[in-house]
Amino acid sequence: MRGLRTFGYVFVRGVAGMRQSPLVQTVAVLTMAVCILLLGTASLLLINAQGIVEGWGVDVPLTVYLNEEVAEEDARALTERIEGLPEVTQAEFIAPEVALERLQEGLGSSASVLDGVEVQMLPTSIEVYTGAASDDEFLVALAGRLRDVKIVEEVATVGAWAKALHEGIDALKSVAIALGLLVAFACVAISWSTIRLAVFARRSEVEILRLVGGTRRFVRAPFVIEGAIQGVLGAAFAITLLAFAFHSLAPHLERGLSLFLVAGAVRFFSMHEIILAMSFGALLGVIGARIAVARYVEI
Amino acid sequence: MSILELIDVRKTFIAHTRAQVALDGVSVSIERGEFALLMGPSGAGKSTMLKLILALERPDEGSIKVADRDVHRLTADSVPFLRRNLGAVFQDFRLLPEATPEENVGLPLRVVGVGNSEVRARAREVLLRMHLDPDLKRPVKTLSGGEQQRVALARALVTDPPVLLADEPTGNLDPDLSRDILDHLVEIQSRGTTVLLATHDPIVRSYVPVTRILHLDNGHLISDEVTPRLRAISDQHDVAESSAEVA
Repeated sequence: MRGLRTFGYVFVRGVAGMRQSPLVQTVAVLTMAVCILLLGTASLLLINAQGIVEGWGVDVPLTVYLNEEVAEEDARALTERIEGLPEVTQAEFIAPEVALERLQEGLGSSASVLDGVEVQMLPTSIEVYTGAASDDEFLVALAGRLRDVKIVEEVATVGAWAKALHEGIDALKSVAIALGLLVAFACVAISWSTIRLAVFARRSEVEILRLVGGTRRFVRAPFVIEGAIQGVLGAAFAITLLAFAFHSLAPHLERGLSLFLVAGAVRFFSMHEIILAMSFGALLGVIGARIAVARYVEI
Repeated sequence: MSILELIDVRKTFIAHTRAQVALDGVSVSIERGEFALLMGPSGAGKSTMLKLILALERPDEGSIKVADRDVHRLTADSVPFLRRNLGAVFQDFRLLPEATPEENVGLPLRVVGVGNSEVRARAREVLLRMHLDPDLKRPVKTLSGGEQQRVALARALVTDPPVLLADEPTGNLDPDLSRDILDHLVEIQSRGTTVLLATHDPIVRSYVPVTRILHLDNGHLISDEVTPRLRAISDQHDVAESSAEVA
């Protein structure tokens, strides 16, 4: 209870401290927002690109379509045999019901086009995933061997274009990670410099808090809270801007890219991802502030 | 029994690549309940001595003990707990200028996590003792110098510390306000608080019934003069301790 009361007091002091230098705080929050906006844009591009690729099914290197009369136990036995190969990481048996469900999910609001399509019209299949180490030659050889199996109707492998697509996604991932690191560094630096200024501006307050017996944590906490608030506000501002831009552009994108988006529409961050982004902003603010107070607030 | 003890304390500061001796081999012992006056001209080392006791500075040599605990052997995490037992007032008040008197006085209680209603009640009680209006909602920076110093005194006393350190508390005040502050300090000491008052003003000596007068000059302790009042206080403490032992 005592700790909670102290936190409440320190939080109020942190907010009051921010109000003492509104211009510096606004500039810090906006700069952080711009940085987080860059990262958010890259992340949004990445998750949508990944979503589209998944929708196309090109993330499955090899799909085995079985003939209509195949018995389920035979299909499952073949699945197990394929999964037993050392190069194969996973082989998943897909019943026609599952295939139809996936198709409906993928079409989203356009699922009505499947009205009248019966489960029996879809083939039973096996999705085969291989490890990163396996090469195209292995896939071609495996496909050839599988085509000779009696219950197999057709074997589909992803082509070179799909490989290039995966490489593109990987490159986008690398860009997002690099941007993430850059943004983290920039946000920490922004928070560090503004908190350093705040410590300097409020050095007499720090001195008074030391004098009356404030512990290291008590004296430093308002500044750390300031950093956290800067981070959260920066992230919130960036996400708001991004949401506004996304919802303005999404209908046009969906219309323009309808051919590519057959398996699902573009999406914005989920609530879980938004909370994660805000926490990320807060964490960066806290790290910057902690470094600043550790250096400039003595006890 | 000593509550404050300095043993062969030396402190130098480096100014423009030259070492300036602020205190040079100073040894002092102040008993519980005393009203000690620390006198000397500006730059004699009075403020340095108080800062060393408050652990705001570290001595180069020697040791400083508060209630038998060596201040500079304390860990950084323990220092705040020492300061909670030492009230301090300064010539420049050191108040939060935008905060109200009640907020300033309540600060030492906030530090230890005391609840709102208790902070308010105790702050009001001490403000009343200092003849200040506890309902005053103005920032302290709008108060007169005398009022600000009384707020600072109230803040120093709100936790009932056993020791009060006062560094030129009347330095910025006119004679009437100075006497008012000194009266408060005498009253505080009469309640059992040990007071160490640093001043360069010789009038303070004639006005305040002190138990000890320490003269500092150029970092050296040139005299440690005990007044007859100390004997009386020591006798009172002896009687109190004997009674406690008998009980």
